Amino acid sequence: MKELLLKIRALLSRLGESGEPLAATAAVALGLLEEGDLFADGPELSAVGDGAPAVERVAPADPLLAAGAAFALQRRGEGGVVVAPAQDADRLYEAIALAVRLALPLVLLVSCRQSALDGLSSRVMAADMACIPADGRGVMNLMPALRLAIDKAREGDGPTLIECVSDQAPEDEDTPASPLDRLNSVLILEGYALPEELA
Amino acid sequence: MSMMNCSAALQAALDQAAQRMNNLMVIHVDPDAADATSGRRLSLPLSSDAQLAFALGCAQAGLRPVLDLTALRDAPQRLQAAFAALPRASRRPLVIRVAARRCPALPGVRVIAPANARECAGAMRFALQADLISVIVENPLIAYEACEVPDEPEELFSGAPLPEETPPEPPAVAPVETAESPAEPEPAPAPLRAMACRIRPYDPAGLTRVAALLGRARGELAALCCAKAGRTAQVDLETDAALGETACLPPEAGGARLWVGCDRLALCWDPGALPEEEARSLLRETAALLETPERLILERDS
Repeated sequence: MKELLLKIRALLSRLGESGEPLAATAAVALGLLEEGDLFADGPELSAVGDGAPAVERVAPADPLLAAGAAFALQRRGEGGVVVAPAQDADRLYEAIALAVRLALPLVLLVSCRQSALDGLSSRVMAADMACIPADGRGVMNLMPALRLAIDKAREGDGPTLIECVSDQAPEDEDTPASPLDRLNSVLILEGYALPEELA
Repeated sequence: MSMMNCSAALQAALDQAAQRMNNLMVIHVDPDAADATSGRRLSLPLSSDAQLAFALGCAQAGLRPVLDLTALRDAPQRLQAAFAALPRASRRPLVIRVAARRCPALPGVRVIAPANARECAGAMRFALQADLISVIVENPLIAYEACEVPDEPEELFSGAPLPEETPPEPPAVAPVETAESPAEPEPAPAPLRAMACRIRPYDPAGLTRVAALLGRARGELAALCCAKAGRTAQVDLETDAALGETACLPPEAGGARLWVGCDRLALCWDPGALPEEEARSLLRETAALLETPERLILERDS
């Protein structure tokens, strides 16, 4: 757990500089992915693994491109999951329809506001696709949702959409707003790192 | 050698390729089909421009997709819009089949317009080995015309040695050869690669003028030439596309068919409907206006 959280922290500190709302979600997803999986990085797909090039930014990908890649992984039968940040647009629903019908190993990450949560959930669930809402700024909240979605895709149980709420207020006043600061406080509280090491 | 039409030749080339390419996948788009996967074939229902991005995703993840859009009537226009919105970074080797008489300019994409079944088979094999997006434009006018197609892929690219590049010569009208003449039998069609190397740039401005001239008497040919001019200027010159298109001439030409190729011009006419002298005159006049063909072939419609 310590290694995983430190790996996610390193990814988050690199991806979070741009202020992209999906930075924390992408960092957690990249931390959980294994060799042979793919991460959609804008118009390209990045392989995940030790020798693979590092993902430097989080850009919304074409969900249909990701669906095609997931179909290729499924056809090759070597396992593998595709994780793709996406935007709530027409092409998202076309990709959802294809992914559900073909049971593709695909995890879509969509950033949305708290007020738009119900609308997106209802549209996604109407297509028989699993939909998990999660706080998009809390690594510890995102981890179980993403682990569930990736394991489900890896076992051939079909695609999942993660709704990352980007404007959710922290549960208490002491919780910092920044995902990196929140993760730092968890690492310190759990004794995985010293404050000097995280400065 | 087997006698087959364009569709059968393409299918045979695909079947041969599938035996040696494990990652080949045919994505067939059918407005009436539900999603279904069988063997190497995935049928997708028609849904906006989803198919191209889906196929590119397959290509990025290691499959070799052949996107079959022949069921769509407006496939070239869809492709033009989709490629305009497609980032260059997401482009991977992909073969797209469309059924159309002409294809709009698709910058950065290899467009192949085969003229017969033999070239269809060669085009498919060539496109499957290429490292960029290739569009095979199947002309419905020649879809049912059968010709001999070699069974061995190597034979498609064998034949006459490739000619050396020569600067364009001033236009000259070649003497008309009659296909019936026993002295000089009609030469066999040039293989695809040889034809591709013989492509010379059409002058778009000149062709526009020619098309305008022809438009007074040969409206359909004028439209074809205009399309050819646009495509040649923007696409074919940067690719190896084989030029060639059949034009059905208007009724006053006796139902004759004109084949406009990169190195020859062939007129297939019915002697009962159009006197031979008029056919020769029509062929010479067209050749002079087009300023490109080196060889004229006049053959009787059987």
